[in-house]
Amino acid sequence: MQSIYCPYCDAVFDEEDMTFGSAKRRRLLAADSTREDVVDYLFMDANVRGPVEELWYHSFGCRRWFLVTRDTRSNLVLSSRSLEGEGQDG
Amino acid sequence: MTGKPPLGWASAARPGGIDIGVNHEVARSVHGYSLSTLLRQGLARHPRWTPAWRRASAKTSYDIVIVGGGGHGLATAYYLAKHHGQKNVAVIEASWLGGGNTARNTAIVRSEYASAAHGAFFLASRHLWDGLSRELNFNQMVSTRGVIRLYHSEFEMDATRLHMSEIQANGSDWEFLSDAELRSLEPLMNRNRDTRFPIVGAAIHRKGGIARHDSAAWGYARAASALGVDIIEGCRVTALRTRDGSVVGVDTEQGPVGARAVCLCVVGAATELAATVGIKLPLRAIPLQAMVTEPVKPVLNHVIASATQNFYANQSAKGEIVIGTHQDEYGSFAQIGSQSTLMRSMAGFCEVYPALRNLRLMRHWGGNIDVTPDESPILGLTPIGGLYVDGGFGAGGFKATPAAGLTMAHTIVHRESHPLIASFGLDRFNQGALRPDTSVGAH
Repeated sequence: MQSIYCPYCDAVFDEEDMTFGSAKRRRLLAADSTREDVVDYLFMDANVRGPVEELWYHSFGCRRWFLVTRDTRSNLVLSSRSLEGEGQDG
Repeated sequence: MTGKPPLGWASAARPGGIDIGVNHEVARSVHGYSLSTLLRQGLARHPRWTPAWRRASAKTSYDIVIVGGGGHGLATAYYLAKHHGQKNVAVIEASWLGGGNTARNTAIVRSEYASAAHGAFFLASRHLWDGLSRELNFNQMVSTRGVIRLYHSEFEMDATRLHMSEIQANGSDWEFLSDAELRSLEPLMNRNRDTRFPIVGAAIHRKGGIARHDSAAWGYARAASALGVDIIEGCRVTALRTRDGSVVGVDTEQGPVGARAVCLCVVGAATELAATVGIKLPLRAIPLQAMVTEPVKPVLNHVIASATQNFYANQSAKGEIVIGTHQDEYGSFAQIGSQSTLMRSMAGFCEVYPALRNLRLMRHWGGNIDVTPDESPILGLTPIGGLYVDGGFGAGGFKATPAAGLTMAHTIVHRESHPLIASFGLDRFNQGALRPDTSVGAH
């Protein structure tokens, strides 16, 4: 079972207590976005082969979102950190 | 059965009113496997079997290069040679032939889709499977045993009622089973009402079943090779090459190979290869897991699938129970998958088949599926001239192997999408014309 550290609870939990959200979002769409920007924002995923930063939700715990770095080549979780300092576009 | 006339499976198929030109004529060059050759070779202690396909090394250039030697790539090469006379074709495979996700899937063939575009495409594929063993002179072990879907709530029953007439209108069979029929077809199933998710109903797709994944890869490879296609194994394609907006070849571990047309038939590496020429593909690589138990005497008569219980299962010819899980929640290229997905599917299987819960698992594995935002495949042209893509089938790619190969071969030669795949072009994402089919799920 995947073990994931929750930075808010300061403890390690089973993957089953967590919900995967998505890879870390790009910047929000600007008002003057082109069609290409919108298509990119809606449909294109980074699909990274290697370490990727992702949003996870501690659904059966503190119910807060945080960032997890996971290596998609090995499926291993490398680190977690809180969303502090990420701002609205984080 | 329903009141509809029986489907003319042996006649030429016109799914969705489109003549797909099914032609099960056996290519002369792929004769050779028969009872008489088996007897002759057997009595003489097998002195003269030859390799099923030539081991080719890459020439400096080809008319058409197919990237990926799985079922789809090999089928595309075969139909290019057989239907279009294209002989200067190479299939370039990073590993060994059919050793990627073709080897990792559970080989279900079926065609019950509600959307007209999906219905016509997958029905064409199901037609093609029926004559394929003879055409390729290679036993595809197609077992038309039926696919039974279990429903555990009135909500699921309502959704099925909604889709049933659409599926039938597309030419596929699909009907509810009564409680007595389900008991007689699958007597081992747990029908207690005091389980977490009691079975409240079931439906059957009688033309569904299973085939043999290795046979598909090997059969298409053997036939394509006999028609002159070069099959190059152990040679990874690292990048695509373009000039003035058109493809001119690929870079491989063994050097550059020129081509006037390139077709991507890979899973996992598709986004990376497309990115080498600035093309974005809306794909996420997601693990899909499966496992087999020790062999037992026949106990499962159909393919059994349950969305609520997160599993589908069938019994192989050897007696092993083959169990597939729901796709993982998050992406990975590790080919192992998430244990929580595995445990959820196993719990579901054991609730439906408590009598099988003590069977030992012999193997468990993960493959990769490429999933699109609308969970429909991407087939056809790209903004780069001469570059074509076949991918994004999610968990449903194996059954599409013959139709994907046939339609992609047509598309490459005519530089225009085959009518059966016109709805599945990459440009649908630019147009916001997404093509979901949520009738029964991907497996």
